[in-house]
Amino acid sequence: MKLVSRKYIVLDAIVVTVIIVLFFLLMWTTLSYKTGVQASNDDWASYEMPSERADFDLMQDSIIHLQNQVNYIKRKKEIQQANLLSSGGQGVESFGIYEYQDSTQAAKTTYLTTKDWGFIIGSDHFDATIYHSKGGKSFIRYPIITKISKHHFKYRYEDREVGFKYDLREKQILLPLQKPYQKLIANTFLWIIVIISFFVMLFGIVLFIRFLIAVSLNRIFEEYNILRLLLISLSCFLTVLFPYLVALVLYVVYNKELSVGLVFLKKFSSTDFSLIVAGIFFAVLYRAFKKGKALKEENELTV
Amino acid sequence: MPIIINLDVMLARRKMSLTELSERVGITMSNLSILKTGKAKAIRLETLESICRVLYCQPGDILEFRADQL
Repeated sequence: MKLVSRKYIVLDAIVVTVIIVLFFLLMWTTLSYKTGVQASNDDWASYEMPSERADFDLMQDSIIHLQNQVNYIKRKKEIQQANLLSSGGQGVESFGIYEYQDSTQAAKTTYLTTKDWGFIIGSDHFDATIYHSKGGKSFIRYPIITKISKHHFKYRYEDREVGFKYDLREKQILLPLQKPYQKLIANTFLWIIVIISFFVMLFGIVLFIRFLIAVSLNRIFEEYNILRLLLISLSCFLTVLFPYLVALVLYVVYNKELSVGLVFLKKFSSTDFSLIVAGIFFAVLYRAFKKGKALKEENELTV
Repeated sequence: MPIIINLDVMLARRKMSLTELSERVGITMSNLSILKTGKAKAIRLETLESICRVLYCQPGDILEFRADQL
């Protein structure tokens, strides 16, 4: 990279940094904490059980139907016992640090929350894993299927204690942060993620605006302007990739907790797809402009 | 680049200035300067023909191939 191009790109980065600093100062003065509801004795009623029932039709008076009803009431009671209420915190789309109040424990506990992992939502089938808690401890109920004969299977459920809790309202996994240093690391990690993702996204936007300005000023084929296209493309790809990298880091750190009975729920969204297409478009544009610059130079240096 | 432009040598031999050559050939001073300093990436055959005609020389007198020494 030539010195002049480097100077222009550094200038772009400074512009973005100034915007971010101003934005965070504004945010700091207005709102920085999401405040949750206060725990009360009646709040457990707002926790809802998954409404989807078994896929097959059951007679109203059949034993299996009655058994399902009994299980439903039992599970509602278990959720009552482990009444988890959010009492504030901060976070991004799928990852955050929130405080929860447990009715079984007087003190509030800080949790690292993630929506990237979870259970298959709305499943109340015989072969689904189910989360439940008893006496402040969390369990996953695994179905164990045994083949009796060619067409007959026997279901047996087994409870395994897990190291996380599950917020049924927000549908997020809660990983406890018990020690002060864990909270510090998690908070630092969260802010690094927020700042980096914000920077990457804004850098792409600022570069695009400055590219358009340069085009309007007839500085189309300047090296720094062409380099901007490559950086816009990279910022598009990074914006898509970043949440997956965060999920990977979480999985590596909390491998023990997250590898038990959970599935990776993060879906490739239409926004991600649009950003990938935009990234490819800008990468192609970069190649085309680079070739254009070479042809222009060749033309200018032909005597 | 291994192609060397010996325009200054030919100009010295013919005792001709760059300005005079520019006027007689009909190309700008800046283009001649690009050619003389070796910055040029290509040379049109008609430019080469005009230079050779004015300087009474062959293209080989102006252009020289010298392999890169490692």
